[in-house]
Formats: sequence, C-alpha cells, structure tokens
Amino acid sequence: MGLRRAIIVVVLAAGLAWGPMILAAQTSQPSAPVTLSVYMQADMASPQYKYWPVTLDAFSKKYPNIKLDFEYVSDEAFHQKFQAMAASGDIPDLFTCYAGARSSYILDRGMVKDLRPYLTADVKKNYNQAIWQPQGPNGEIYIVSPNLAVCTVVYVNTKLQKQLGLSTPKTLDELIAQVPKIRAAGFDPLAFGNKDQWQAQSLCLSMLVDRMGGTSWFDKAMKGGAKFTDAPFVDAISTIKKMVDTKLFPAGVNQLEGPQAWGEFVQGKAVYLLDAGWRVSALKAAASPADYAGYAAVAFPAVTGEKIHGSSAATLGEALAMNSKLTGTKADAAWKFLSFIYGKEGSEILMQYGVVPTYKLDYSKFDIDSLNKQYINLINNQTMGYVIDAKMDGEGVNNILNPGLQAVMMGSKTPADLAAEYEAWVAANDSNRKSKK
Amino acid sequence: MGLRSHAAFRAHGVVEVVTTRSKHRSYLSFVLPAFIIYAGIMVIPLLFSLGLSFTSWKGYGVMSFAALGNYAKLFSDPVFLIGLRNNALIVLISVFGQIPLGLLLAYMLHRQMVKGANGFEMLIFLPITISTVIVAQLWNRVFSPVGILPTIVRQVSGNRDYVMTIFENKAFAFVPIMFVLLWQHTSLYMVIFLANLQRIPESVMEAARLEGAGETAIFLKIIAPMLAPVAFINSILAISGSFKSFDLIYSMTGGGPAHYTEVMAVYMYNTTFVFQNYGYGSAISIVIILFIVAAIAATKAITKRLNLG
Repeated sequence: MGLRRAIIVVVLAAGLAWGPMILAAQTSQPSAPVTLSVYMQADMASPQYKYWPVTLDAFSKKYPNIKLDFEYVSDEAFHQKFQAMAASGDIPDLFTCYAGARSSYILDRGMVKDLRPYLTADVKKNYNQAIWQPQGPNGEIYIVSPNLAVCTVVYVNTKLQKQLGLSTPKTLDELIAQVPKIRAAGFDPLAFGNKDQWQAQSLCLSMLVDRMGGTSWFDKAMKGGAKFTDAPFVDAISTIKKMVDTKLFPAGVNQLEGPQAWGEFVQGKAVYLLDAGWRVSALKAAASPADYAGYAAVAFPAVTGEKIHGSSAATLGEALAMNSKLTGTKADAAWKFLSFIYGKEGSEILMQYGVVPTYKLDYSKFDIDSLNKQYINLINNQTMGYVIDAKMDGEGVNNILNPGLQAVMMGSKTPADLAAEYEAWVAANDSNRKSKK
Repeated sequence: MGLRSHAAFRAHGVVEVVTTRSKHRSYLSFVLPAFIIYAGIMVIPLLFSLGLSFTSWKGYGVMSFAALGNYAKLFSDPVFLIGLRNNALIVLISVFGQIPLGLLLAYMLHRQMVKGANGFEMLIFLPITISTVIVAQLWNRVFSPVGILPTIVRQVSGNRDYVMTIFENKAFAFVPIMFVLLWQHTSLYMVIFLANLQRIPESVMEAARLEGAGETAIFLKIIAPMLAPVAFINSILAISGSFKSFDLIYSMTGGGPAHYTEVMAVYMYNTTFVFQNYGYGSAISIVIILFIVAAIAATKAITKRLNLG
C-alpha cells in the first residue's frame, strides 16, 4: 500500500513538474505544422516590398513548422474584398489592419485581437513609445506598427541655400522673408503639391493644428469638448492661407501632383520641400548622389502663436493583425510570426532596405546616409501630433476638409467658413462625436 | 365530315400543338440565357440599389430605414449640385459639340473637301482608340503647372508664375475637361455619320445637282433629313454616356480642385465605395438613371415632334 502511494505521489509530482514544461515546449515550437492564412495589403511588384521575401525566408528558417498561406491585394481593392469577408463573418487568421477609421469595418465588429496580453513591459520598451497610443476605445492595441508615418518634414537643398546666401529659418516669418530673394533668383521657395487634396491636410494642417493646440485640444475636439471653430483650428488654416498668399508655395499648388512637387526639388528648382518622412527613400532614388548628400531634414519652423514647439504629426503605419477568434497553437504561431517580423530580426531586415523601423536598433551597425541620420535624429527628438485623417471619419475629411482647404488656398472660402462647415459635419456625423453620446 | 377526315383533323391539331411547344422551347432557349444574364447583372442590382437608397447602410451592420431622406438631402448637397451642373455641361458639349462637329467632319471627308481624306480620317479617329486613362494622363501633362502648355506660355510671356488658372475658377474649371471630351469623342460620331453617308446613293446627289441644287441645298434638303435618325441614335448615345461620365474625370482631376470638376458618377463612387455610405450613394445612382431616362425620353419626344425619327 505504501509503495502504491509512493508511486502515485511520484507520478503526480512528475506530472506537475513536466506538464508545464511539455506545454511550454509545445508553445515555443509547435511539433505539428500550423498553417496560417494571411490577407495582406501589398503590391509585391513595388520596390517598397523588396524586403518582404527576405523577411519571410528568415522566418521560415527559424520556424519551419509555421506555414503561411498568403493572399496579396493592393490599394482600394484590398478594402473592398475585406469588407465583403467581414460581412460574411469569415476573415483570415492574419490580415493588414490600420489603427483607426480605415479599418473600422473589422475593428467595430470586434474581429481583431487585442494584443495587450502579449505586450509585456519588456516587449514594449524596445519600440518607439509613440506606437503605444491606445488604438481602441478601451485602450486596445491591435497592431505593432513597424513604421511611424511622420507627415511633416522640411527638406533643404543646402547647396542652393548656400548659393543664395540663406540660412535655415527658425520661424515661418523668417522663411517667408526669404521668398523675394529666392523668387528673384528664379527658384521656388517651398516645393509642395496639393492636387490630390490630402497633402495640405496630412502634411501641413495636422502639424499646424498640433502646434496651435496640441493633442489635448484635439482629443477634446474629437469628442465635442472643443470645436473645430476654435482658434487652434482656424489659426492653423489661416497659416496655410498665409503661406499661399506670400508665394511660399509654387504657383498652381493645387494643380501640382506630389511627385511633380518633389520632382521640382530634386531637379534643383526649389530650395525647400514640404513633404512626409517616407519621401527620404524616393529622394535617394531620384537625386544624384552628390545632390542627395547636400539635402538636410529639419522641423517645420516655429509659427506665430504656437503652443507646442517643433512638433510634427505622425500616424501609425498599417501592420498585420490577428483574428480575434484565434486561440491555442494557432494564436501562438500567429504571435510568433508578428513578433518576428516586427521584432528585432524583421526590423533589422527593414533597416537594411532603408526603412527606419519603430523597433529601436543600434543604428551604428547600419550604413546610414546623412539624410536618413538627420531624419532619425529629427523624429526621435520631436513630439508627434495627430494626423487628422487618421483620427476623424474619412467622409468629413475627404469630402469637406480637404476640398475646403483647396478652396481656402484658392481664395474662394475663408478659414472661418471652412472651420464652421467642418464642425457642422463632425457634429452631425463623425463617429468620434457619436461614440461620446 | 367522315371518320377519316376527322382523324386527320385531330392529327393535324396535335402536330400544331407540338409545333407550337417546340417553337416555345426554341424561343426560350434563345431568350432565357440572355434574360438570366441581364436580370443578374442589371435588373437585380438595380432593384437592390433602389432598396438601398431608402436606407442609411454603411456597408455593414444594421440597415436603418431612411425613407426619402437620402433623396431630400441630395438636392441641397452643394457637391451633388456641382456634379449635376457639370454633367449638364457634358450633355451640352456632347449633343451640341461632338455630334455637329462629327457630322461636319464626316461630311467634309465624304465629299472629299480635303486632300488625303484617309489620313485625316485616321487622325481624327485616333483619340477614341486610346484608353481614357492614358488620355487623362496625356492632357494632365499638357495642362499641369509643370506641363507643356504653361511652360511654353511662361517662356513666351516671361511670366514665371503662369499656370492655367482656369482650373482654379469655380465657374470655368470644367471647360478644359469639356475640350478634352470634345477632342476624344467627336471621332466616334464622325465614323457613325460617315458610314451612313456612304449608304446614301450617289444617284440621289447627281439628280439634285442636275436639278441645280448647290452644296448647301444638298446638305439641308437631302443629307440632313436622311441622317436625322442617325443623329437621334447619336444623341441617345451622347446623353447616356454624358450622365455616366466617370473615367476621364476620375483620372484627370478626381473631381477637384475643391469639387469644381465633380460629376455625379465620381461623387457616387466616392460616397459609396470610399466613404462606405451605401444608402446615399445608391440614391445618387438612382437619380443618375432617372436623369438618363428623362433625357432620352425628351430627345425622343423632340425628334418625334420634328418628324425626324
């Protein structure tokens, strides 16, 4: 009897000791192959995704038992098909997701897994802290964004600047004061194109609104505690109008496409360029090495009346997210995949292809050119405001605000009129205001 | 009637019934596939769209009934009204620009009023063979601030700020697009007129000339009346095409700047598929269909009254 008891005790003890270890081993390396379906918004013919096969290759070497079944769809077609999938209630295991209104058709239905249980303090400390802003109404984190889309950077052609005897302006008024000299020499002061309508809002107004009111004011305006007819918003629009009236922008700025604008800068026809952070790689590809070496990246100069100094506006780049229904080995395999592609290994590959990831790396290990170094240094020392179209409903931004900004720039609407029009739309329709009610 | 003839009559009746059934079957076998396809891709989506236009559906979630709310909103929506105005301008340039110009060009070519008519015919017909997206990109390269036309004007005038400010004028921003539409589509009507001109017997013209009719009289008294039905068909093509205009404007300006070049179809597309406002977008699409039907009915009535059709 004593022996039987002893055997039972030993077996139980062994079970208690080995059980979790066996489970842990299964968790870290699934013995049976796991296949995950992935629906990804990507155009694999684009040079932008050159890094992706390299990342997948590295992943399959590390985790041979995790198989991935991809479907790639680019642009708007991705959303159209995904909306149909969401309506049927059947979505893939992993899919491209935006941290905002663009993915509302899956976020609002609770189809995306909240990643907070996986995101320990040890994991989070490795990333730029700007990516941990709440992405859902209860602080949910749905994506680990690999890149921060910084929307306002001023690029400087330092050679042209020296040739004209100019220095980098500290304030917008100083920049405007340089306009007559630059124009007299036959150059455009600040290359910028707004034909596609979103640029003035994403690349300029968002930053100016942050400078004037900060994210705290914007949070209030989103929920109705402040209004878009308030001074921060109207003053920001007025600043853009001032930039047009003082001929800082090229003539016909609302007829000029983005690539035409930065094309003019690359051709040496403009001293400054107002564009986003993601333009660095395009400038590198288009400019001659000698010209590229003479480019600098600086913050937008100080604006009269600003409360936040030197800030830019940024939004999280899209990333793969997990289906909320995933559990067990599938969920575990999915997290392994996400933490690989957005963790150290994946970020190092991304960096090798010239994209600055949100994962903090030892940049000294990489051969980074001068403009990229300046850009990394700039964004690591800036506070980031919101990009309006990432926070507010698309219909109001694309149908009222963006065309309205063009109307203000062309002189057929006043900043106050536009602000009133946008506030009226937001108050009646925007989901941010409705969610408050 | 004898027994034999009665049997023959009955047999004849049976044969007739069988023949009628067989005719019905053949008729259905020809018509049904086309009808099913037509119903599947036209009638059912149209009815579905009509139903959606009375809702405020966002593409997912609950469909809430909006009654006539979407239709009431339409006619106070400034963007829709700009689109409606621009569509009306396209109808005008199509019916009173493309068709008369197409007729004039066809007549000149048919009457050999220019040397090398075949070469001209090919040149005029070329724009319609180019993809509309390419046409849009091509004219964008001409009109853009860094395009060919402003660059030439800047060189000639010495005004370094010259751009085509017409695009920034609310009243006239659509004029350059009307020019491109005229350039691209006139050739289609020219070809239709030319084909029909070639069907008019030369003997009729000869007889008219022998009677002392001049070129104007031949055109007004013989050719114009004979081509009137063709002009009517062209008008229907032009009107329905005008209300559906999408590709050129979407590719060339996207409706901008500031909605100045918006048309109903572009607005419908953005509202429905970009902003996911399926109810309102469906109401716009139904109104577009109603406008097309009304315009064609009006054309038909006018043609009938003028005894042209």
